Amino acid sequence: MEANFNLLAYIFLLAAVILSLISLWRPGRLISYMVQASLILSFAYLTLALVLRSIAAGRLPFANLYEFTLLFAWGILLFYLISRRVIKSDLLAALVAILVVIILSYSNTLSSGPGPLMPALQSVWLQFHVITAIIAYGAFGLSFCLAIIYIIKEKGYDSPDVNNLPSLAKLDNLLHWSVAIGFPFMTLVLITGAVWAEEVWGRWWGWDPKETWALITWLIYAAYLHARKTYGWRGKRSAIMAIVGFLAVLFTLFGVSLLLPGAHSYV
Amino acid sequence: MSGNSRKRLDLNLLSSMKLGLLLLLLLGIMASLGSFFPQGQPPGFYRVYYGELPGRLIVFLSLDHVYRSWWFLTLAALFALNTLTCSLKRIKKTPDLRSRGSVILHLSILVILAGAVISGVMARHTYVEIGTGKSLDLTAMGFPGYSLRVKEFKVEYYENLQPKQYISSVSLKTADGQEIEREIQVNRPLKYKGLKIYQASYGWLARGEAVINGKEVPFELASGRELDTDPDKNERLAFFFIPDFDEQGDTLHSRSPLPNNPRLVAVLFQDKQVMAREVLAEGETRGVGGYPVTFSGYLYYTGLEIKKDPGVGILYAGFVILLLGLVMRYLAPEKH
Ligand code: HEM
Repeated sequence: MEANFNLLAYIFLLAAVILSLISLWRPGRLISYMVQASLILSFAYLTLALVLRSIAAGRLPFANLYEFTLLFAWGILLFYLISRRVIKSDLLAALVAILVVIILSYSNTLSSGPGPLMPALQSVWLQFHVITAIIAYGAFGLSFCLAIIYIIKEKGYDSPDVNNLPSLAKLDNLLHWSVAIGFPFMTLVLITGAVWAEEVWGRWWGWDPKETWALITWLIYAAYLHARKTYGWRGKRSAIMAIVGFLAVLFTLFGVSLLLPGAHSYV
Repeated sequence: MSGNSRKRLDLNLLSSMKLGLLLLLLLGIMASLGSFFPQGQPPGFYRVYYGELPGRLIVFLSLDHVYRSWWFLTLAALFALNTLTCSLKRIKKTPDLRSRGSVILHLSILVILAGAVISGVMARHTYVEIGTGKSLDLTAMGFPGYSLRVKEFKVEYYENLQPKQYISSVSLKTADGQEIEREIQVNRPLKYKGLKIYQASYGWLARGEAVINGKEVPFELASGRELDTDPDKNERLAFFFIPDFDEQGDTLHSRSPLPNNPRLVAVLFQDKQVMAREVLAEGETRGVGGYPVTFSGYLYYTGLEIKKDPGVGILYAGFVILLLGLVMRYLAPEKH
């Protein structure tokens, strides 16, 4: 069952990618509606798959990189759906759908057995650590897509969907809003990680590549927020920083796991 | 320019956001460098791995120990000063809870950095391996007055034989004369007055006796360890403990991690060459290439990490202050 729901989530996501690309080319009420419906269905099936997995395993789906990748995709979709209250754009839908399809495709290459929790993960800190990470990364994922849209709009392409976007100032505000939500949660990821590392390994910080890259991500977003606040760095420069920040997120999650060996080897 | 205005200028620069942003950026770049080069290897390693000249350059630029290098520590210290001076300047202008929250948040970073410095300078770490039933005096390891006895070690398994938990039952004699009985598990260290003991590793010890050149040599060795029999020929006896020996399979294969069919595999090596090999059941004696070996028993050892780190308390205080600052900064009602 869980595999079926996962597949459905994936299929609806692919549908959203295709439909949203068509709608950029031939906009219309109906097609926008279909894009939106596909994304909502995809989110719903992904949620169901995660719930079923939790029931089957008798624990929350926090035990390996495969599960965290599903949660990562889930978090980005969640923040996208929340953002629909203030911005409705098929261009944004297309970017989010493409990003999430890539993440889910990658998850299919990972081993996905719902094994039991290994000793290192049997800690209350697992729950705090992972939940804060989902929120932080979901918000950063959305800000990444908003930053790309900002840059597209600023370039001044003349197309219906680009013209329908909110003003540059409003986009910039939205982008700031999603980074400002992600940042305190990223701080909590670092704190809960440190407390947990102290409990499980006996050292709260060890410059393990995963820890180091989490810190680098935090430094980038800290720079974004400060530059904006004190220098009024807005617009393109800050959009680029938000993009770089999310590339650091992706590197922490996937690059480090693949390229840089460390103690934090499960995620 | 008078001396006084010069000083003011420097202080302005030190507390400026420009410097702050530059430092955030530089710290990020430096930190990433440390994740790409293996850290803390001997200098020779880099010359072999990256080539003579690049290797020398890496060591010269301290890229082999980025996080303890003078330039990284200098940047971090500047960052602390920048945060401190900037926050002090802002303390005077805090009209509402939100801006106070922000200042608290920034000052908490200094507390966290102070915790890191104290950890770095004062923390004491040791890793020990103790066989079940054995005691160890921790005085020589920098924990005077403490001694530790391991009463039992066990591994709990899930049904599919994946490990569920590693548990050491220990008794700790403390410096103030107490005796504490406790179970140490992964994620549940023993804590006593700033001393912490962690479950870090485990393994099997094989016990027995070898007769080497007419001398009886008792041994109690971790699986894979060796006894020298003839150093001139580089001849050694190696012992492998197999908890669940597979009669049909490869000699070193264990069917499960449980000691259902324990065997000692004794191998006589000359350099890398296998000269003789015997599989012994418990209580058995066999000649291995002319050396009689007796396998008399086996036991677990537990690997424990022992540490004392006075920085952690300060660090956690910093975390609590940071959380307080976050809550005030984001959740306090906005004043218009
Ligand atoms: C961006 C940052 C991070 C993310 C997304 C992240 C994510 C995770 C996740 C999902 C787990 C769950 C277990 C698993 O599936 O392996 C985990 C485990 C853990 N994390 Fe993090 N983490 C991050 C940063 C950190 C940092 C900075 C620290 C420490 C200072 C840390 C310490 C730990 C520890 C101790 C564990 C459990 C032990 C283990 O995995 O063996 N994490 N992390």
